[in-house]
Amino acid sequence: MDTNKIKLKGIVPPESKRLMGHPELVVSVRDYTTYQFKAYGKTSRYFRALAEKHKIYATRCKKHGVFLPPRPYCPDCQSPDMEWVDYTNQPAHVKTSSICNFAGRAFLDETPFILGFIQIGEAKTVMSSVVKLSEDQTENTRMLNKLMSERRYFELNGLKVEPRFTEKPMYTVRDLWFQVVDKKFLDSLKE
Amino acid sequence: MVGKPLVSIISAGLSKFGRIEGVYARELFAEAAREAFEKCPNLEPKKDIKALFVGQMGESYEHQGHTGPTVSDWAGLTPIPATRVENACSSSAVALRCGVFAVLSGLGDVVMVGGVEKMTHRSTADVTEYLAMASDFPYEQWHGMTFPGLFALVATAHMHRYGTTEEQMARVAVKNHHHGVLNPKAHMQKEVTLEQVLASRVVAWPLKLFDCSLITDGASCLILTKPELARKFTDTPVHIVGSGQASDTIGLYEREDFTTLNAGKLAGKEAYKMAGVKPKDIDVAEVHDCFTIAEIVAYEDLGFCDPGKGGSLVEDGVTALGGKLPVNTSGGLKAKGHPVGATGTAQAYEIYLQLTGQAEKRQVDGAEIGLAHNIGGLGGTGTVHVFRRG
Repeated sequence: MDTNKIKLKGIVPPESKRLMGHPELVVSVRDYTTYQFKAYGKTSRYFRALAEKHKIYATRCKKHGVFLPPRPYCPDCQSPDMEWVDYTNQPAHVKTSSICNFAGRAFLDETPFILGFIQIGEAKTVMSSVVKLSEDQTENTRMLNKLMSERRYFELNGLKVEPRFTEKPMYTVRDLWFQVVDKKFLDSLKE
Repeated sequence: MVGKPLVSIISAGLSKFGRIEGVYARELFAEAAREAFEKCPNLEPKKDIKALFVGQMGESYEHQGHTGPTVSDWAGLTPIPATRVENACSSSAVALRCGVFAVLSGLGDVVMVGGVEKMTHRSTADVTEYLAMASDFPYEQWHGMTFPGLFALVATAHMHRYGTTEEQMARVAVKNHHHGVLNPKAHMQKEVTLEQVLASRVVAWPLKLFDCSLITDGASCLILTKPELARKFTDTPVHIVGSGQASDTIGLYEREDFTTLNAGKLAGKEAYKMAGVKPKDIDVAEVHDCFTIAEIVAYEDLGFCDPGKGGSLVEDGVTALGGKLPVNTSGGLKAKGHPVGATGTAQAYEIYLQLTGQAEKRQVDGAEIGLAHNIGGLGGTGTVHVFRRG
């Protein structure tokens, strides 16, 4: 059977199409789909609060402090005695950052976007999160391109940010993002 | 005094690295195995080899799991026990450690270890997504975090704290590409200039295309035995004198310091201690340069220089061929290529060549002691081995 004549459904990778013209090779393509399905266990409460209450919940161990993202057991002493605390209004800033100009297929059309590590209040760990300069994607992209073209590498690090929540939650970390609120910095990226 | 040998490498094999079209992973592994067998005529593979440990990161590339029996069959080794080891980009360095354990435990006198990955038939977006599986799922993957993105977070933190520059990172790429030209099995045998690296397309700012290692197909393997049996098989064994491994949190966000990879640092300390050597004793090293910033961090974590000085080490030419401590003479992950599961034992293969005088144009004269440093994911795993000429 001539594999070049098999009718394919779904996404056909261009690489496979090219190889199919090869006289000595048999190339097989099937449209397998992997569907992401996972449960968040004891940290479900965190994702529910993001999506439904627009709140950021952390967990606190009496001995070892606050963990955000929350840990159901203390990473330092394995105690299950963790208290849930509301960390929504704690001061937040960018600890380190990057601008992703390329991504896996699921996020490709959102590039470029900033991924930052956000220090919130006294939390012992940082939150990895999308950081935006503007809510408007076109404007955000323009500002990012300006930042990159001027090679202002780590100016994002240290900036004050505030949490924002998506209107249509997906029950993933993307339900939360952070907006840069440093006016002087934002002004420096104006047209 | 250099520590006593744990095990000895009697042979090693490496498939051609690159965009190898129209084959699947098991064929690549068989190619590497064939080289190792041919190099060691005193070995009867089917009779002598008692176990196989093979590193492979992802079953998604070919929708093929259960890699142990798959590749052992194609290497002609069935029915020996064959086990897949998965520790992201450090899979085969950990497979090597499993081989060390197996020989030391007395379960088998001769053991084969190796690794394989077939990646280039998938689109770059797919590969990026599969690789990201080695990062934390709820808080990193679902942000659209990629490995270039994660290492870029390390890069900006390093630049911020130590003043490391884009040019210094670019020099790692220039150096490793130059080494790659001298390696006939390297994926990319092409020089690049500093200007080309700096002008290349941004992948995850400040990392550009030429700061990133390659998506590559390839396989590698080593054959290990007890030191006292090594001379039965070869006149030029290489001894493993130190082996260290450590872990860190899967998420980078849970760490205190973003400018160092602690697992790599701890693995190095353990390996140095076991080997009874100091960083200054190392003659040649292969380090995990999945991104140029990672090589700079590796210099610091392995004690080749003080924290924050990695950038100037490469600038001063210390780690280039002809320098005091040549690093990544194979071209590294940057130019030789990074078939994820094969990388750990491919690094050991290069050190094996260097210590047995088989590295041809890239030979480091009189190399006695070598080191291989392999990082899994974003330093969730760190593995370091120290080697000595037999």
